[in-house]
Amino acid sequence: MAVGSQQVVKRVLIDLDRCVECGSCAAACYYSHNAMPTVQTARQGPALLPVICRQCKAAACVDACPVEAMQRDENGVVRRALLRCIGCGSCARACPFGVLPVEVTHRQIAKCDLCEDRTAVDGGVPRCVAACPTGALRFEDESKAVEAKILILGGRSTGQDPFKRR
Amino acid sequence: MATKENLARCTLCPGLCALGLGWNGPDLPRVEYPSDSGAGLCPRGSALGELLASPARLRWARRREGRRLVDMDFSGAIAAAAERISGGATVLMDGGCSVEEIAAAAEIAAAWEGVRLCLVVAPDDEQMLLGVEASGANYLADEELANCDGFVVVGDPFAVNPRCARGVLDALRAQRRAPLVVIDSGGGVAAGFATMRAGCRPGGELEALQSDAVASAVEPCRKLGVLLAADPGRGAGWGRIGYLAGKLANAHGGGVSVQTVGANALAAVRARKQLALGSLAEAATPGRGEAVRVALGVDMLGLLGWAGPAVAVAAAAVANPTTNSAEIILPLALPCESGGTFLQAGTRRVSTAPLLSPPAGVPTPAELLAKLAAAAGVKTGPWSGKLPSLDRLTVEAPAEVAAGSTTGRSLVAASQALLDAGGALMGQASWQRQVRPLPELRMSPADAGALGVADLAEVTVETESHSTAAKVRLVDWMAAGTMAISAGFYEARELLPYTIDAERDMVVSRPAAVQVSK
Repeated sequence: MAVGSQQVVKRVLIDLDRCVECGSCAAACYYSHNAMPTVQTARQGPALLPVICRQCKAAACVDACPVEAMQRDENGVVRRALLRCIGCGSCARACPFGVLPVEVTHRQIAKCDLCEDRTAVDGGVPRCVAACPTGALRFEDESKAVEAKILILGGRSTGQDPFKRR
Repeated sequence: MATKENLARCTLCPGLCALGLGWNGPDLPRVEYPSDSGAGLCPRGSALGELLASPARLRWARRREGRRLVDMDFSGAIAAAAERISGGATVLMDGGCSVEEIAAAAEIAAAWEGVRLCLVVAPDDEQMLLGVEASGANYLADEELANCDGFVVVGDPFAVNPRCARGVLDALRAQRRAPLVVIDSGGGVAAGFATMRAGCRPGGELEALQSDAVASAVEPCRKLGVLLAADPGRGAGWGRIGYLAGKLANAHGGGVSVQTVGANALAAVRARKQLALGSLAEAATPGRGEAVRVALGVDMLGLLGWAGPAVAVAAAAVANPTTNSAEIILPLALPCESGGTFLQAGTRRVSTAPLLSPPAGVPTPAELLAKLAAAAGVKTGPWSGKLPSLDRLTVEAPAEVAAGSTTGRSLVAASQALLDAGGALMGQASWQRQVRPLPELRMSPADAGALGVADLAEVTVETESHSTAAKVRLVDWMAAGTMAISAGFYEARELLPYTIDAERDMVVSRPAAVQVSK
């Protein structure tokens, strides 16, 4: 895997004002990644929040990996090298956002690669975004979200209180 | 009627979301998500890919011998089934099939003396659709909801078809003052977005819909969208709710969006009347019609929450409570393995292509009925290709329903986006089993405090008819004294079983008194 240093241009943003907690994003990720889902859901009070890797610029998972299985590729996507990962869970414990599953599946850590087979094509979006029935998930340039005055919160965007609807 | 292009589509709800086929390996099909569909796909649709090659699929015929199941060759099973029903039978067929399947099966049944075909639609959905038909209201497609300036939501349509939420949320974002009135005793997710939650006791949706508070909240609306989803366990008022909701939408220049189990419930209700076919109430009533029942893709016991045995021959894609008690069990194609025409939003005919062909030798419901007829010596000939008109029905307004009374804590059922009705199909999907191994029991924090249970605690839920384990989910907007259990579990249906209302010719599931213990 080529090692890159640039940050990913487009990220998955979540508009919590549109999330109806259907779980479509998590199911799409699970069924298309051989039951190694990287979209998690976390309950916080009344809200069920989808939690998706934000492809950090200074990724703690990359620093924590003892076998250099976590690396940033030339597109800025932090990826887990399949044949290097020993499933130690260091990355999951190092992630400050809790987006990496601590449970090890098939002796490996599941890691979001932004569905590169789809996003490599112009206009392609990750499966979690394509599966979202309400348009709550968007695959966008983060700077556009800033321009639109959408608050960025750990990779999520929200118009108001993160745990309150409308 | 308008028509849409021929893509593979999920037919589990009226959203009819487009889907494609991908592969995780040479023998591991999965669903793929067209980037340009703009519709998404809920967890039920996503699970269809896995179910295509699931080890849980029924791939060959079986016969029950005492407590054992004995494998049979398909032609032998067809002959045995034909012999079993030679004296006449009531054939229950899934109303969620394509119009072509329904029409072909109706022709075979008409030529087969002693066989009565009953089209099965979820009982509450059927009553509600008949009410809407009687009201004369326009049907709104999901994308048309974005043009509305106010909404009344009864039940939790966002759970039945998450796609319909997009139009509502688009409209609310464009018009911040647009009212969203939610009437739902089950504490569904739609209530989380409400500008007004109409007070609603268990199964009291009809009463709330007629209240002055709802009328005044939507008074300024010039194009009102009324979204309906009929969950079980809420009583006999769904027909009247459909009728009044349609009248309310008419009065405010809007329309009705009905979210049902299966994509073709409205077509099935119309076809049933136009082709003079039987209903679930007719098939389920003892002593009415033929005693021998044949279920083609219908999980009658799972749907009604009944215990068997009640069905002689059952055909299904995966095992369900009905096949588990049937004498002869036959394999059947999955809903996504046969294409055809589906009726969307009352007027739009949508053609779908199959996602993948069924496994070798596995028939669709109409094909299976044709094989049974041939084995019974009935000459049916090829299907004529004639489809029912599917025009709007002319039916009378449903009668007034007296408000029921409940004392103490009451249980209702609530839909969830990841499970289907009765859980027959999605109960075999691995993600669904992982994330929701137990039914979810929604309750208010006040009830949880009184019972001494916390969020996510495992509890035992008990009604007069059944008891099961469930996981507590605290919902702030639920009324104290009301609890709601996931409708997608057979165990939950057993807690709230349907009863036959002979007077109204329907089956009804009412709220039940509930006990919860740690």
